[in-house]
Amino acid sequence: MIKKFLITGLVLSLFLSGYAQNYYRISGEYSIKGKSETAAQLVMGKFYYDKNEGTIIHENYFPKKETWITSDTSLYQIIDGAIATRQTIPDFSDFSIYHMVLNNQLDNFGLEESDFTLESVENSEGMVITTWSPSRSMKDHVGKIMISSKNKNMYGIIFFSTEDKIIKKQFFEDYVLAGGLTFPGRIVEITYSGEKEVYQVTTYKNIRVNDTQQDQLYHFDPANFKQGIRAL
Amino acid sequence: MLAFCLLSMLPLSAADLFSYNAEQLQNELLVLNELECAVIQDQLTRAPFEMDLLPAVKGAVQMVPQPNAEVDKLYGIPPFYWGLLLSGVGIAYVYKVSQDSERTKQAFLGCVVNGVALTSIYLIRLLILY
Repeated sequence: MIKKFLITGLVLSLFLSGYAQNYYRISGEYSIKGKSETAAQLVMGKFYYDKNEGTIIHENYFPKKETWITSDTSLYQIIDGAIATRQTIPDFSDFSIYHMVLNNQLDNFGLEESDFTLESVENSEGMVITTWSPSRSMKDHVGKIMISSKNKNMYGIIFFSTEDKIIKKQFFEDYVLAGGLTFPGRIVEITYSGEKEVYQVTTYKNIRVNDTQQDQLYHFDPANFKQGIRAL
Repeated sequence: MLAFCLLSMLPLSAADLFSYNAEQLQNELLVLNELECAVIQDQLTRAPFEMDLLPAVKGAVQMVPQPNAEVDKLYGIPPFYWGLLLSGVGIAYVYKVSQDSERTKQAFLGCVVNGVALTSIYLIRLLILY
């Protein structure tokens, strides 16, 4: 009887693991509102990310039509179907919110697989708060990071300077369920610069997961642009 | 008062750090929220002004409701002048293309000013002649 029970359990777990959802693609619409003491900005557009491609595509339709593509260590600006600029940047696609959501890493902001180590965990006012310290080699450059989660979802992250002063806070709110994944509908970001505060609110909507009908939107090949084959 | 002072001197708990002033944030982004609504409503794809690092003061002045397709059919001429120059025809045209009572009222006002001006000229001519 016990043997039958174990075999049934084993078969069932193999069956379920075979059907475990592999999240690899995400898209949606965004609106970024930024405000400082002297400047204000609104950017609206659509994003596409396929973790197998490793390319993040942001198609802005406001304030002007242009596309920003992050691919490896390059940041391309596409205007009227042609590459207008190309900059070399650090490869941070694995730390983008899209990548972290697809890999269920948003709850610890991908720090588990970084040079940060978990220093403490505490429960406070309905939140689980973890504190992460940078490795010895990084301590001269970056400070600690605190992360809070509510209802198993990431709620806030606080970045500290090496002098232990808060330099940035991010809050992840209004989670929506899309294709079996939870995605924050609103991200509030407050950057502290001396006595000044810079606000940024990013809202997301129409999130689609594992969209298989529009493959071309997730793919980027700079060669196509040079030859003028693909126009966005 | 003493209790309040003592409470304010207590060190912040870890949970207290994970908070922000939602009301202040709402006020800071008020104009941008309105602009976002205008973009969605009027399907704008281009800012009518330079958005990159736009000075907040300039933004507050310029982020007025954006012209829509119907208003563009007025060829940039204010409704008041449509009424002033074309009287009843101007009012009818403004109403037809904008379907907006406020603009139609402005056209009507233009028409009234036109009528008052013409009547005044007529009366002055009568006084001069007789």
